[in-house]
Amino acid sequence: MDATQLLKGVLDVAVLAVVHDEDGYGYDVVRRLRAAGLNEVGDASVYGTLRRLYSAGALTSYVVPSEEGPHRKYYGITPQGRTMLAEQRKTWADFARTMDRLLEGVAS
Amino acid sequence: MNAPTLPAEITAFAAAVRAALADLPPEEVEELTEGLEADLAEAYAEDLARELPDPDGYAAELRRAAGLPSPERRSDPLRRTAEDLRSRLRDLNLSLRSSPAMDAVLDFLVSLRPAWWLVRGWAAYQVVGVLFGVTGDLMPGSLVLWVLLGVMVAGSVVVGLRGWPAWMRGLIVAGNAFAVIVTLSVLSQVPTRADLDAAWFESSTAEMPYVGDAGGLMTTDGRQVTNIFAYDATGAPVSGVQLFDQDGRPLTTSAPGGDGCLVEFGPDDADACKVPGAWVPAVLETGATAWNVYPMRMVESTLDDPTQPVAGAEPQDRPAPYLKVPALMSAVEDAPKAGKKSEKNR
Repeated sequence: MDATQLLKGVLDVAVLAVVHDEDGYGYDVVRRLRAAGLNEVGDASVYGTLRRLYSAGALTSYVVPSEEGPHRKYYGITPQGRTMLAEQRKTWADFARTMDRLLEGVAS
Repeated sequence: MNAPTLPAEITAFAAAVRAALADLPPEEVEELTEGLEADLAEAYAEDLARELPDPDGYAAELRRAAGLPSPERRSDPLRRTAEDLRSRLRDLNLSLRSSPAMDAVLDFLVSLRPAWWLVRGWAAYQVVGVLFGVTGDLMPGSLVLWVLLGVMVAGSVVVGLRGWPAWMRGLIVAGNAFAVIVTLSVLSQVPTRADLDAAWFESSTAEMPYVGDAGGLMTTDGRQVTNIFAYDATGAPVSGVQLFDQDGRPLTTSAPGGDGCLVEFGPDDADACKVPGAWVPAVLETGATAWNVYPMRMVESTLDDPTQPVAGAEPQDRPAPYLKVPALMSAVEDAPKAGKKSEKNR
């Protein structure tokens, strides 16, 4: 099964979870997702998702000036984002449990 | 990320991504791609072997993840109309090509595209040629204009050969429509054979060279009178005759500055002139010049400026048609009497 297909459905909650831990800029979020094991995640998908979550009010953003290179745009989670994260975490947990049960049944 | 400057390929990549998003509002593009260079540079620095992806694909992924419409499905009404038109044309093309004959015809028309590029370059030359003061000439009349035509045609071919982004294609379609209009309007001004004949007739019968303030054109049997030879009652030629009409206006055959032919090639070749000449007016005692004194003399001139006498050339008498003409009856009757009288007186 292609993990990138699965990833599409859960990228929102994955990004929300990463930003919930700590504010981050675009590539920083990508790196943390990959470090967490989501190796297939694409840069542009993450940047687009950050932008969409920001538009939806789940994230805030602020620019951090840098003397060494281009400025960085950091994203942080909003109360609305936290609510969204909680809901989606529950949805995922229910879904994962269902799938686990289904697939374990096949194995036994 | 320590490098203060970005690798050129990253800058170029980011620019290409922004170009692929150019149909979105500028603020949206800015929001989507802000920090793109920094992120890319960091990824690049971490893994130097990493290759930059296709910018269009990257832009499409950004767009999709951000939940933004893809460029095919735009809400902008103008773009929707263009899209609609394009899909209709596509459908039309498909339905026409379902017939093998029509398919062949369309393929043939498509194969004519390079010819259209040439015509389009020529149309562009016609438009730009106006800046050089050229209007109505189908082909260049000087080296500079030939070069201009060449540049325009080359440009048109380049436009035709290369692939262009959608907005540019729109411009090209508009330009093509303009080129068609220019081509048709220029060609409609090209005189036909009938126009040329009419113009020739008009100019050949126009009262151009011999008419001025001094008088009108004189003709006999439709042929122009260019000089007048007078003979007295005894039939001998007379020179220095001043002619006037019934209202006392000078009878002139040549406007001041008129020109003619001093030496013709021969009687069979009356239209061709070997040596042109300028008519020479007489000078009155008042000091005025008179153009109604006959036979008028002529002085040699040049083809370049036929009304201007050649420096140092002397006015010449024109050959009279007759050395002598029959005398008048009255003069013949008088002559013997006068002779008898003189004999008697002797």
